[in-house]
Amino acid sequence: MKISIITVNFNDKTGLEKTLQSSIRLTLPVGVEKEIVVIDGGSKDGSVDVLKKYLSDITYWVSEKDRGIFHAMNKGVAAASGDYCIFMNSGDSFASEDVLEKIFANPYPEMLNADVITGGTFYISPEESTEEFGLPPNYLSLGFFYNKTLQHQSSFIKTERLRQFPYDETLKITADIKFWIQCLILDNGKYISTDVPVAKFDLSGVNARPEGAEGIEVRRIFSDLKLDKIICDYDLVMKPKNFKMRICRHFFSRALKKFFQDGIPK
Amino acid sequence: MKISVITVNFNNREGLARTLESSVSLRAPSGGEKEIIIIDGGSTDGSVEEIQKVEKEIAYWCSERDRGIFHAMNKGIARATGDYCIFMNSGDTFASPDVLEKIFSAAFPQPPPDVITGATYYCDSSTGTENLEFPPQKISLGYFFFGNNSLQHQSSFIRTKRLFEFPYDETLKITSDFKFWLQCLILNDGNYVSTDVPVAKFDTSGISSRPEIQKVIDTEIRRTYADLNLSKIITDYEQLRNLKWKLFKRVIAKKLKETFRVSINFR
Repeated sequence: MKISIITVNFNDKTGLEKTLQSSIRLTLPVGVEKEIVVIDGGSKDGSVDVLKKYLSDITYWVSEKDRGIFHAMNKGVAAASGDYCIFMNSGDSFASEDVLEKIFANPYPEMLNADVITGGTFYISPEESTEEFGLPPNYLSLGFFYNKTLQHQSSFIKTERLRQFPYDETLKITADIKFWIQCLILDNGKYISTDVPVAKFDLSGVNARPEGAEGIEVRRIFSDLKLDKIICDYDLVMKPKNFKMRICRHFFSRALKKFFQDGIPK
Repeated sequence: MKISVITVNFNNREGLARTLESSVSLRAPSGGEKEIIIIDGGSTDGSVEEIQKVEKEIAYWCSERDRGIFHAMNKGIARATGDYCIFMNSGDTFASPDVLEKIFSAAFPQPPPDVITGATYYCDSSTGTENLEFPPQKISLGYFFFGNNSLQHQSSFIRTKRLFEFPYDETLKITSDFKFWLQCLILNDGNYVSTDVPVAKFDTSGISSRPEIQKVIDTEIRRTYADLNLSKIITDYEQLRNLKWKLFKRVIAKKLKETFRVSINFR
């Protein structure tokens, strides 16, 4: 069993160093190997020098201009030789050294055929020095992706599937959501969630996005995947247009939240 | 514009006679043509004589053993040369001879839809009642799920191309048309248009509503959802159906009824 850790970087040498150190320190259970793949977009801030420091631990790296983060992630998949990939982009890091041991040490038969294995994520906001912990849902359905997504920093994805559904480079922010829907919902991929904290997600890079941009891209994903005649039903419930429905929705919003966002308990 | 009228028959001479009469007197659309195709499953009750009586009006017919109604419908499609097909099986008739003229007129929607469905007269010959029902104005997965409905194929003109793309699944006994609607209209974003023009008279006295039939229907529908990889979407709809808050469900049901013009059953 081989795990490929893919790191995408552009002009973030401090983040890159933090991520590389955390990936290098990961301990391995018996029968499991890891490889580190770094896709740098042609950084000019000294990131390449950082890479050269850790050359002996990096299996493959490249530093050249690319077409954006999802293009870089696709390049990473092309270079990966592992059975599962995890995208730990620069700035993010593993929650502890023994993540791989906790998740892959006892590969029970179910897990070996999983397309996606996820764990918990620490959400770190350095400005406000807060740290929140979130777990993935136990069970997935289309309703989950109406408003939320899975954290790729905490997900081990079967490389075969990443090759089957490459990230859509025409989407700037939500190509990973499109992948989740294609692989796990429409193709009925096997999804396993665990309670193991996998990643520390640094939120400081996220706030740069324009308001509402995600929503627009997600509607485009639904359209691309020909889900319009299904999503219209979800819209009816989630975005009711008449007054009575809004009242009902507000009154039952807690229950609705459970219905759409937490998935179904096992 | 050419319309293929496909009739499937098995040992229903009297119904076939009515259907043939109605199809023969059906006028072709202006500037267009119609053709009649009959697929008989090897009837022994004189059905073949009925066909032979009007043989010169029939573009193609055959009478041989087949594997069931959906196999017969697929055989009909294979012989169809029209742009659109309509399945008018024996016992059902056109509402009037000018249906094609009304629908395939100059006002026909562009670009041409994949499916255009009109209104249906539901006739119960035992009680003599007749109810006119209109098709939904728009459709979504929710329409098919909550209504447990299918569009009336007796009143639906389907683009022949689409029937070749998604042949009827012969391993299903009753709900193969339901599966076709899902494949064509929901999963492949097919273009659906409804019209209020009455197209067919559907004889309901033959329909069985025995609970065993309903059970077969439920099993087949669940299998179709699985075959079409819809399980992780249907779970959301099932959750909605299982919601315990009556008020919320009543409001949604009302909204769905307005949208689709059918009553929703939150069993």
